Amino acid sequence: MFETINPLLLTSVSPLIGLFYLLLIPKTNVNHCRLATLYSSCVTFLLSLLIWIQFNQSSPFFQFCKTINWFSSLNFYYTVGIDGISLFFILLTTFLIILCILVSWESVTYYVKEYLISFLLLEFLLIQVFSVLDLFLFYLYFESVLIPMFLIIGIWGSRQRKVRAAYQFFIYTLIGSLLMLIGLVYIYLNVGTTDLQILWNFNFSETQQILLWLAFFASFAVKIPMVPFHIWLPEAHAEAPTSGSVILAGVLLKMGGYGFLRFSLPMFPVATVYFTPLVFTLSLLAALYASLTTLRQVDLKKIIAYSSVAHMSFVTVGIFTLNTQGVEGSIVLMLSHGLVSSALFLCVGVLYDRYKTRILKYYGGLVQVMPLFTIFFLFFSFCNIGFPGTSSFIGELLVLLGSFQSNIFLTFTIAFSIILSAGYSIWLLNRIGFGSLKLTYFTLFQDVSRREFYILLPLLFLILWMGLLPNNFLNEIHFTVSGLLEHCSNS
Amino acid sequence: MTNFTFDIYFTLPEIYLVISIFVLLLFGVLASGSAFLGYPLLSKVVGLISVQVLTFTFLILIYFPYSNFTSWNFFLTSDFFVLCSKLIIVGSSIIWTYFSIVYVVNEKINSFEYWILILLAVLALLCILQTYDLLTLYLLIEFQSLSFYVLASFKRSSEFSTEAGLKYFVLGAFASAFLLFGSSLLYGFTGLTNFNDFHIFFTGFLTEPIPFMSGTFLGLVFILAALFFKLSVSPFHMWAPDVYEGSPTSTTAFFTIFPKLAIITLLLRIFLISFHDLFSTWKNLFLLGSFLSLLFGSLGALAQNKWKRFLAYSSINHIGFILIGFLPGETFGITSIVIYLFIYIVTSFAIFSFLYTVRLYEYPQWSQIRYLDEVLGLSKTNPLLAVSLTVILFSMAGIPPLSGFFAKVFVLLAGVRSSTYGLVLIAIIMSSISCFYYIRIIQLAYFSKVQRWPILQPVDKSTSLVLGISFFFISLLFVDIELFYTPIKRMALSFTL
Repeated sequence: MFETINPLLLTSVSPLIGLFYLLLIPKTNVNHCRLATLYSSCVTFLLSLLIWIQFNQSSPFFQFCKTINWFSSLNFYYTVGIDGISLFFILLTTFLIILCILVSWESVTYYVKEYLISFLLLEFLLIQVFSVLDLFLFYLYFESVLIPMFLIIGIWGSRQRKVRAAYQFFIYTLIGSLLMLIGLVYIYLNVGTTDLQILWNFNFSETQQILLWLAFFASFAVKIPMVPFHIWLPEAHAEAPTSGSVILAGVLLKMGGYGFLRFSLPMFPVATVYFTPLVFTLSLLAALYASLTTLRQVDLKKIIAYSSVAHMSFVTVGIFTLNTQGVEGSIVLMLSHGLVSSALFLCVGVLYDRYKTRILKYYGGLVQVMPLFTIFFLFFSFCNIGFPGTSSFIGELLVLLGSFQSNIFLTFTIAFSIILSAGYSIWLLNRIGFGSLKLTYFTLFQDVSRREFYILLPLLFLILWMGLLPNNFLNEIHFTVSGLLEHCSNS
Repeated sequence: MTNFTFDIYFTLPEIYLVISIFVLLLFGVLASGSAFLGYPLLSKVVGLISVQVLTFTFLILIYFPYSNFTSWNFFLTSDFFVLCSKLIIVGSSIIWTYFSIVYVVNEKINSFEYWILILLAVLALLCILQTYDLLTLYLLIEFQSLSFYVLASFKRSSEFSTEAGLKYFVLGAFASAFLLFGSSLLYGFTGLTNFNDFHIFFTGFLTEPIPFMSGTFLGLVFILAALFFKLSVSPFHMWAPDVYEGSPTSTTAFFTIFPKLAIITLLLRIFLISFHDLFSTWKNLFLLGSFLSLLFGSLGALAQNKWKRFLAYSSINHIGFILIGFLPGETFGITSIVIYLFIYIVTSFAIFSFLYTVRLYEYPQWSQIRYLDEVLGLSKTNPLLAVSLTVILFSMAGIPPLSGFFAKVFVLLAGVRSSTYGLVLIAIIMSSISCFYYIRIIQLAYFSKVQRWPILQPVDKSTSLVLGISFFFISLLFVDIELFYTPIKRMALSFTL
């Protein structure tokens, strides 16, 4: 029987089942709500592991496909399917949502039920983003993610500038997405359908490809974010609640990279090659500029947010190198960044829960009183640099190998940003963890609680696993990536 | 071939409506002036009876669905589109009357003539759907406008309302004069008044020139100006915010929901049937109207802090989107217009039922919400209302997966099909600007700190029913759009036959 049930459908539906059950619980019974959400998200994670177990790594086709007749008179069919790229993003999503719900156990005290509902809804939408095989539906879910994130940042964010951050996040992403909508509408009118596999094989003319690539780029560049459009990210990350930052950095940024891999590269290969210099330049600027800006920040979350910008610029370099090492490196880097950034935000969340401030000058010498926390923070800071043995090393190594084949100057200059990331990461670690305790500000300290320990430990384990045994992850994506690149080079 | 035999059958719904209006009026006058009965206040009674009258009209339309006829010597026409539009208008008016009774009673608008005027306006709108001649056009537009003028100024105790009615009357009379002038120009240059005759006359325009072309076109521009005024399309939209704000809220809801469908049908008939071959010349007029409406609708709403003015500018914005659907000049455009109108009607019902329900207590009475800021703290005082407001506003902003998004996608599809990429780009930019002010209200309801907590009246049954059903529709349209798309496509196809 296990061969016939579709684990992808089960994974998609299970957050909704949790959501409907949650609607029935009275909101005064906060503990019951939290437990129900936790169980539902754990069940979703286990079901998504089923997807991995049953995934056939030597098949270049989409697996676990299911087509539903949604709007057949206009040729819109609801198709879902998994290939190597989307597999790991779905796993990342389901894993991180569990951590988000655990993180908010103590810190969210008002509107708890609405908070949990937003997260379950967000989980459902994110799983759908990564599994639909239809351009219109992808756009639908891509934009629908804005609604719960807007509410999460605006209602449960930290006090100071949360409304402004929520606005910026929403309007920036909306304008990019609306430009993509024009491209989508044009494609639909010219091709007659928005089904992914048909679109991959449709021959757009060169001018069409260039204009459509630009329309899609507007949306994905804001999401990733690439440098001129990155301003929403530090604000949104700094003002969001801890779990909001975790899911934002962990999964939402990857939607942009996934969009590039799934749509821009296969559908517009000529335009991709045409615009590669532009993307390389922007990524290089992002890597250097964001790394340097990080050195000036005083807000802990903003430091990690800017380092996210720098890491994601590596990802775009990897995607646009258009060779196997580059693309696989970008996927591994996206996954590893999802884990590492989430871990760093969780660490900052630990501090914020205790002291309600994220300003750097209040923290110092924490190793003397919070040794476990400092061990975690040290490990994750080294992961941020790309230290060998961690997953981000694998990702960055593969990306640099890929870009070396593409453009040697770019490789040398972007490798310089690794040094800069070492600069800000270790400096941050030193300022927080070592040195003298700032006893004029804080006098009471408590190390990581059991809940926080259990949140941080799986991340450490996963990063080490990905760093020391990357083949477990890379084996699944070989076929998909080589199929993608062969499709691009044939067109 | 003028055969009047079946005309009474064809116009049975309208005749029933006229007779019942007269009976109701007689009843109202006699009963409320009777000393024996104690001079009763008949407002609620006549309101409920008018719901019943409209229900019977709806049933007549369902049981005797005559379409594909012309009646009264080619003055009125009907086809499947008209039939469905009549069903939509009568159905919407049933819902509107049902949930406005409570509002009217609360605001103490005690004259029963309100409902008589509403019924007359509905009658006028039903007949406007069917016009087939320039004379009928003018008569019915005047009929509708006159009922609207009185409805706008109905609340005699409020000088705001009187001012609104007067403004509407003066400007509306001016627009009707334009209409008459345009019709006379058209008649003068072509000698025809019937739309069918125009259709035959202007066919083949592309292959052989028509004498007095510029004069005909001038007449057409004047008629279009008048109809744009009625629709509150820029640059003729100036009356809309003031009139919408001054009228009692139930009348504002009526103005927002009903005339749009009727006058858009009229525009479709004039421009896509009669003057279809002049497409390349009138396309630019709709382009200009749409562009200015989008611009002024979005930018105007940014500066508003009162609910009804805000909704007026928002409806100007929506009309701008609807006019994009005229540009392809083919079935797909018509389909997108009707879908957008349908979703717009449901969203308007939702937002106006929200406006009716939220009443704040300032000693000694409950007064309705007037300023946007009065939504402050709604998430704590009435969380269910706050959630429904959020969903309605996100739908108006066009965020997927709510129904407003699908409306906008269809209209943008029509725009891209007609290759007017500049206008589509402007529509998108204005859509994101309008998104900002819709979100601002959600921010007020959810995010802001409240200094003075408003005391809200509990929502009453009829309004909550309408709010609930429209909320359900808005949030769940994406599950099965086909259910609405197929009949609307069938409606639009009747323009090609």
